[in-house]
Amino acid sequence: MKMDRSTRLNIRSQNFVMGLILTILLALAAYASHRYQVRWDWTKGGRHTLAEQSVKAVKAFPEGLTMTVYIQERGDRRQQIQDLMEKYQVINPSMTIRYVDPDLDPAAARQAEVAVYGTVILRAGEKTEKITEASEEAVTNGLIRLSKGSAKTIRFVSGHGEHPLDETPDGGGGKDRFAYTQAKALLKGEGYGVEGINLAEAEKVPENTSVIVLAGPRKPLLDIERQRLKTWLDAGGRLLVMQGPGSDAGLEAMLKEHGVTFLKGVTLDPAAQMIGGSASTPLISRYTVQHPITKGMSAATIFPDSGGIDLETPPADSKEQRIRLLEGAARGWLETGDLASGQVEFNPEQDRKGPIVIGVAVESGKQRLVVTANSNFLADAYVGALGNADLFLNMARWLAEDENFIAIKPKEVQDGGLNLPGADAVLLFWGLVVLIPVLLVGIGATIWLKRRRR
Amino acid sequence: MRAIVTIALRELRGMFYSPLAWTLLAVLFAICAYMFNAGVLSYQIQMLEYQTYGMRGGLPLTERTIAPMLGNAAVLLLLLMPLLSMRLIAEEKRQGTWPALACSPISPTGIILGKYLGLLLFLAIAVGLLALPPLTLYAYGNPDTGQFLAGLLGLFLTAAAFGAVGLAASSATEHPNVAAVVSFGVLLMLWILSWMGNASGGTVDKMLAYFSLMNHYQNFLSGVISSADLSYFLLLSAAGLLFARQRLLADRVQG
Repeated sequence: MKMDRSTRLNIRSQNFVMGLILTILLALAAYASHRYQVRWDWTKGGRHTLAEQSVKAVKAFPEGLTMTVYIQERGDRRQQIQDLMEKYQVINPSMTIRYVDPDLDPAAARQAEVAVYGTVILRAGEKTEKITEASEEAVTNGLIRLSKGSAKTIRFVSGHGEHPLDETPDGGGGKDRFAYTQAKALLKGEGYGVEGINLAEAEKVPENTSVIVLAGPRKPLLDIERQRLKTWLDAGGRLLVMQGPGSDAGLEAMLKEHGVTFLKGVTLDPAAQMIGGSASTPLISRYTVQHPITKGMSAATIFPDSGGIDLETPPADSKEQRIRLLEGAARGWLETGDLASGQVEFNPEQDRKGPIVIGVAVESGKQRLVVTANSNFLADAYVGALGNADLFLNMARWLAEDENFIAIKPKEVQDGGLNLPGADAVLLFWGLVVLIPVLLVGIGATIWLKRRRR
Repeated sequence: MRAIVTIALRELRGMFYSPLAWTLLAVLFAICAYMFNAGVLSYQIQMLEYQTYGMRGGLPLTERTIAPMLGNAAVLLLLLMPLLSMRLIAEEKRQGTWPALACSPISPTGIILGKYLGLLLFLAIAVGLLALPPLTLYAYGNPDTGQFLAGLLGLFLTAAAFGAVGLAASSATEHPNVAAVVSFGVLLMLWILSWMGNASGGTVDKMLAYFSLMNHYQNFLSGVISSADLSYFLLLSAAGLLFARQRLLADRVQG
């Protein structure tokens, strides 16, 4: 073929166009392969495969889902969380993952009320769920809650000097340490509606009420209020009563039906003193009973200024389940004497010896009841301490029947263990590191020399 | 097709007649075997600590010994592959054997595929050799075969992509040294892209993360085969080969 300038130019431009087309095709293929991917887990026992429930949970959002992870940019956990999130994303490609470093963008973290590294906010449309632990179990349960979109409302009874839900300045202009503003935020973060209720004004408890909370009333409830509350509870209501030594709800008769009696006195716990706290702040670090509220709890909880509860075992013919949920001060006692005197010691005649029950859960049919001999553990001053917030959220979830928490066990290691005797290790070392490479070089040199001689 | 195989075998024979391939394999194997032994040793020590503290569960053997070795093997290959691939086309051009090959009835595509196939055969041998140290573990423990095989597959695909990039570089120049430097530069860049690719998750970051070789190889090492990772390596290899083909086509115009 004769090559003149124009044919050359022609062929060149053809080549150029061809190259361009190929590049575009490659880019498209790369995008498509990235967008729609299939994964095969070749490991024994499928260590990198999400549990069936997780797959189902994330597939429940075909129209998209955003996970915003609040985590520092550097660090091991970042990679772990990223790997986990990508597993969900592979199953639901319409899901987007965003990473925010709370240290670099504190304003965003504050707006989202992020307190711990590794917080994940799940968002689908208008609904959000916040989880503070980025494990498969937590993410999947968050997704399930998000998809259910419970518009459940938790109502706090007001009108008797209960802990205020909103910030009200005290006389000196400072913040009320015993307000429940953070507890309210926690509940809202979980997707619950939080409202107050004045039982004396309301004719009856509103329809959409999931849980009623009675948080440390200073004065007893009126008769009419008691009646309304009892009617609601007996009809399958769910109630949380928190009543410390200084408060009195006047619900003795009603609680007595369920075997719950408040004991006089303040719980003193010498063990709390040993770890630097005050003896009047009992600390519960072991949760012995099997109950949805304490299941999975590992952090200790503290109960500043706490009373005690006596729980009777239910009569044999009753179907009611009564559980000692929180039991502490194993080496302490319930002090009935005057704390202000500064002289406190165990007095076997008046004081009840530990362990003291601080919280109980009662269930019968639809009816659910949690009673604690302390309401301060939820107050702004203490709710951030240790596991207090988790405990409260678990209580709220159980009461609101959101506890069908799905347990996903971490996959076990299948290939652990190695039984390599010392002599064999030495043999392996010399064989692999020295013998085989020398052999390889030897063969190469031999071939080379032979060919050169020829 | 037969011509492609002929070229491939000629290429492979050429490699093993010279001491380069043997030395390369010896060095690669010695270093990998050394790292493997070090990994096994540290695994034993960790296991001892583990048992002392009475922790339950086990230490994953494959994750701690085989995967790191294969990971390091890829880094070594990143250094060594340019040396192996630099001559593929550049040397022919320099030695003057190129016109003979270019004028033969074989198409540029055939030549490139043949040379690349030769390289792949060599890589298969290299990867097979590197499977030896982990195989010894089966006598003393219970490695995760699936994860091990996924790692080997990943190593082969990674090295194959290295080779394709090297081939492209070799087709672009007459100087093998230049080809080696260029392919090494490109590969290292691709390898370390993820350093920036993991930031806030914007589009640019995502693209950087996608182009990073390491991100894709990592999945294979952990035992997960993803169609996206498979296609990444295949597409990267294809890109290298297509680039080389376009280069040779352009060369023909000049000739």
